[in-house]
Amino acid sequence: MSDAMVAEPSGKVAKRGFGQRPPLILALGVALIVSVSLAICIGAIPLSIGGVLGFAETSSIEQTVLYSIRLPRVVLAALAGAGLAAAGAALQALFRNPLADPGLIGVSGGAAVGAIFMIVFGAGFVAEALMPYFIPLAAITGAAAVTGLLYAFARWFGNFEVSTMLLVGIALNAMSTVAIGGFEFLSDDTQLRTLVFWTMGSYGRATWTTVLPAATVIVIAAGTLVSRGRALDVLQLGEVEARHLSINVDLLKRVTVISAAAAVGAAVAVSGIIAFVGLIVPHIVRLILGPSNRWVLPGSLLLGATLSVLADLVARIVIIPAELPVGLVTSALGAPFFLWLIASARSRA
Amino acid sequence: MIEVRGVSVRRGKRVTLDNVNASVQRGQVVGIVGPNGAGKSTLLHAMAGSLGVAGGEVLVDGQPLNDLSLAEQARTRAVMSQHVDMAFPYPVHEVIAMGWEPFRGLQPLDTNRLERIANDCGVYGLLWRRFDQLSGGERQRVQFARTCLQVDGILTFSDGGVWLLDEPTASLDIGHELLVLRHLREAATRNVGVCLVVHDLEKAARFCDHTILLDRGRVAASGAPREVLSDHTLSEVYDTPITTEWHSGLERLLVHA
Repeated sequence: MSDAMVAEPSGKVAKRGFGQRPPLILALGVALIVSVSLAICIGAIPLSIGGVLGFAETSSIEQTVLYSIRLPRVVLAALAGAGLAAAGAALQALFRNPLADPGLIGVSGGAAVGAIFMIVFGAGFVAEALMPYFIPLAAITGAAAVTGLLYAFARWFGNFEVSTMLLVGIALNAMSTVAIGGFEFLSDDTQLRTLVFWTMGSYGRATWTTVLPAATVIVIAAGTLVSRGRALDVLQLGEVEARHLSINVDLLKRVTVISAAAAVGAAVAVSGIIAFVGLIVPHIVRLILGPSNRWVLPGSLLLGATLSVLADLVARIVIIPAELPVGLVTSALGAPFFLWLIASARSRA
Repeated sequence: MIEVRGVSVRRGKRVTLDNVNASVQRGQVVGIVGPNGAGKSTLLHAMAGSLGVAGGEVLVDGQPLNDLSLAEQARTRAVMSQHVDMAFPYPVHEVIAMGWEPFRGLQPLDTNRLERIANDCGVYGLLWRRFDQLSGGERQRVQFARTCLQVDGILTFSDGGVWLLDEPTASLDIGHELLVLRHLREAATRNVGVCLVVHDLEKAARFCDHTILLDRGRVAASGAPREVLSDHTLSEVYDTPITTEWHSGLERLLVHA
């Protein structure tokens, strides 16, 4: 009982709270604006910031580059990054497991299977004009199926340990690889080129017709996830405890699974598999803002968008006029980070 | 008040509770005792409504538990489970603050209230530590404080409630054990019905008004501690020779095994 009477209430909690959180969120917002501006201006054809904002004269070529190429691509990169990072943070909270990344545990793979199925076989039953809607829909279905399956596994095992989850992820990813390989075998030459792009991950195919439907889905899904931050915090006590504290756990799980799957599915449908964004970003945000999902989710949105836009910028400019797939850049950053996470988890245990 | 009537619970083929009747009145401390695997936690969680019952009914103030919304349930009773692990490095004050969740829509959590509860529960010095780095006993004290905050909320918005605790003192040293048990006694004076699973029979006799002795899923005895905790019943239920002795100097029941 030594510390029972250490101090009289002093308002210390109020004073020492994470008071610095709002300015930090603001800083993340500023970082996003800066990186978006850089990404719009820098490229094979450089644009001036004055021209972009309409203060300076621009040629028609510059206009076309800005509105038809640069802008949709940057918007896609920002939204896909935001969606993947928010989905990663939400899945980590849902599975109560810091290594739950949509790519590692097979959710992105499920989305890719759905999208590729639609590309290869969709022409048979869907009109060409509706494809921008049906590919994301198929990808979301694939992502939701895998997430649901993972959750069923988690319940079945009782306690879903980190290693078990990653092993299940390996198995699910292997299944996706089989399905994708099968589809590749059945596809024709033009479809095959699209499929290669899928497995590497790239924002290079962004056009407004494909970006807008996916963007709508990502905005709604990410908004829903952010609104569940507090409930996801209480869920960390355990499902039973959360119920005792008035959280409708079944509804929360369903909403989280569907929203995370929608965000991942929509992102994968337009950009392929961009690995590790959903893992790295929430971790960095937790280091900055603390573990509370009320802050981790919005923070992940902002930092996910920033990181993704910058990764795409790097992918575009390192070997001008050619470009790297952005998935390669995020993996090059993410894989060592992942190793570091495993090492630090080991040394703590 | 919470009452279970003829409740049975099955886990697979095994019957873990068999036609059990029990109740917790406001202002009363009820202790559930019994050997390992007797169904003590199961009975507590049946009262809490956190597991499906195969038969019988659970009533809260005469109303079936399932008729109440989750929010209404959470504004009537607090539950402390045995183990809570958290995968993320939440600071202790955020963990305790989660106890206010059911009342957040009615009134925002005042940090003075949080500090007062932390002080009362002897966890003030832990408020800024990371929950995942605490020892087992410290975690238990923090979870106790979290449910204590919930009980404080229940008493703020109604005139009484129920507090269910599954071995709240299992990993505590003797000082903190007494702090928790005195706290529960004090809560009972404020019209809270307390029900706890407890292993220490002497503590059960000292702090409870009523004891329920479970044996293999059935109620072996129920009533005032000194009647229930008799040599004969205890020896039979625990399958060990047990003698009890009333120490008139201490005014306490001593249990020798």
